[in-house]
Amino acid sequence: MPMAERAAAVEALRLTRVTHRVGEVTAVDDLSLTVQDGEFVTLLGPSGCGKSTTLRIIAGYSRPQHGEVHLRGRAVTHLPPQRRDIGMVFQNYALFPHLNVARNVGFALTVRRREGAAIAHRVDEMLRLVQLEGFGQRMPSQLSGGQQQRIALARVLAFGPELLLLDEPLSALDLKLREDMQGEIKRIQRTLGITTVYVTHDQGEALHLSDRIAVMRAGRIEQIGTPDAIYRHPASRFVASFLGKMQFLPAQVVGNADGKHVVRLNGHDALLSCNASRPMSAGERCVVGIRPEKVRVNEPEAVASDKWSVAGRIEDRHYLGAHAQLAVATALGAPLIAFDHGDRLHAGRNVRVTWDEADVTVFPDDSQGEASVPHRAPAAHLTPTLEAK
Amino acid sequence: MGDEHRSALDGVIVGWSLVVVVLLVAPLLVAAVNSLGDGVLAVFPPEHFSTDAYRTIPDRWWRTIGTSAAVSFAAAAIASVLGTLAAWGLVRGRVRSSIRAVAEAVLRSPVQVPALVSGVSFMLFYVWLRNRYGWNALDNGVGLVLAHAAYTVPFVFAVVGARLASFDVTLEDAAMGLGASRTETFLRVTLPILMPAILMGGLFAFLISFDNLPLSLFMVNARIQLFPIELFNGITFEVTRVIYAVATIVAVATSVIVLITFRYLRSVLVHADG
Repeated sequence: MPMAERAAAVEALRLTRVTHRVGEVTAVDDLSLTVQDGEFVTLLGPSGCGKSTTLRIIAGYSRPQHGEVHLRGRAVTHLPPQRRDIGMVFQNYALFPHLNVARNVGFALTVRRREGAAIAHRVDEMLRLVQLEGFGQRMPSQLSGGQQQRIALARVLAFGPELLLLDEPLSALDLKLREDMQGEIKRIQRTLGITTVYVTHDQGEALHLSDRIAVMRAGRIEQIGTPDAIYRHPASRFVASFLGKMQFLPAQVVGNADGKHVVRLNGHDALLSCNASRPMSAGERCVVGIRPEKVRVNEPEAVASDKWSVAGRIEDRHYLGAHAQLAVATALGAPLIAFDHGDRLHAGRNVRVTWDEADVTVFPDDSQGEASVPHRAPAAHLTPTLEAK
Repeated sequence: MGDEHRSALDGVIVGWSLVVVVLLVAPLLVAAVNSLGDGVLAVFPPEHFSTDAYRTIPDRWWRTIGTSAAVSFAAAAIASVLGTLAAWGLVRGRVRSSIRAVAEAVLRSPVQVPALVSGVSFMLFYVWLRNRYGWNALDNGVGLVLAHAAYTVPFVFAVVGARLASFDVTLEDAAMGLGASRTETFLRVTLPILMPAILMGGLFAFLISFDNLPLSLFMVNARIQLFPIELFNGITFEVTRVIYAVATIVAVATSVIVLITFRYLRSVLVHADG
């Protein structure tokens, strides 16, 4: 690829108002997305949100009823997968069971009628890239899950695709291996500088790997941005609970000015001035979203240092290794979840709880569309059993 | 469970196994033992042993075995192609469920109709063809091959259909994503993975055809004689040791073919299922 082309921000992929219905279900609903050259974009969402269908539309396995797909400015909406030069890694790897590793990796070059020596050379190069040199003669059934994953990656990279698509590539692996493979995928993607669209329901993978994350829900992109931006400024309650953990406290809007909303928490007199996901008017019921790691739990005497605080009592303490998770009963509603990195805050202790206004986001109480995902009470989805999600 | 109970249970299992061996397996050996007897007439058990019977097998036996093998091979080849296509159509095609049910019933009908009835029907059909259009499928053996093919299609259909139903279509998606055309995808991925099932179905078809007496009974003639019919006639009219020798040779030969095929299939399937 010429350097000049590299330097400018080239648009590698563009989806324009893509809609795809399967029977009565609208799997992808008027979705638009642009991916820049070399970028790593993750489609993140619960099962059934349309992320895999979107990937299949990009690859050419599904043809959308409406909308356009462009690859580097080339309209490919009506091209079959064979003519798109896209490498797609499937969830189950889809290695050809009757061919050995070398023939699997060389498959794309074989069907492109490359000569034998060139294929062998490229296969060696790819096996080196995924650190499986010398595995050429093995059959796929003789490989571990992680090795199969690497071979699947080597196989699609062998023909030098313009775009790499990965459909939940790590979901079949166990936790430790999954973490190793995340690093491996990131390393390979950086080495080749290949534009990548990655599909997962695992927020950890999305946060670790992506340049940008598109949080999907019901066939639409609910929010797109850098991991940091989405984590810090979720556009909806759905995004807030899907990416990381957030608890919601009932409150009421008192007024808004300069983009900040002033709210009063139910059960407390203090007024908080915070960012809101959308403009709301005075008197409207709302919820205040706060992440557990932003909740500060202090000694009961340490009142004066904070602008505001609320009295509480530690109900429960779960040891989680790196930190402990506390459940603190306050007058604000359901017990607040907080983290303790020390070892002084035992169950039964009286404490004072506070947080910075900049760390919370206000959402409308009705939280439009919440009904389509299983309703989870603020405290319920923060229970320790979900910690290892 | 106490030890005495266990040994009692073991005794029952061993005893039952012996009953099975004596009733099911031992009779199969009678022919082999009898073929090694002395004297022309086959009296069981033989008083003296000799290999004379094997050295005096008349040529007509080899001819009928050869004819049978040729007919069954041709029939199995045709059945393998037709059965695979039928399975493909019904598993992969967009077929309405009512049509699918009818098609499956038709594909199984040769098995459901008694072979003797099928044989008569095929014979009558070929006679009608000869009288109406002058094409004599009975004399040239084509009719026999087609009848056997039709009769064995269901076996190929059942085996290949089951394999196709569990076939992972993402393998085809992957091949096309890597640049293979539909034809290439079929030839390089789908067909090789289906091949063991097709071979297995074809082997069943061959064995069932080779062994089939009633279907062929009305379609053989002076020029085309098949092994099962010759064997049946032989046993009916002249029970000699030669017949047992021939039967033993065929039994051993088919067993070897089956063993070799299964060994090959196992080596393929070990990888394919991984």
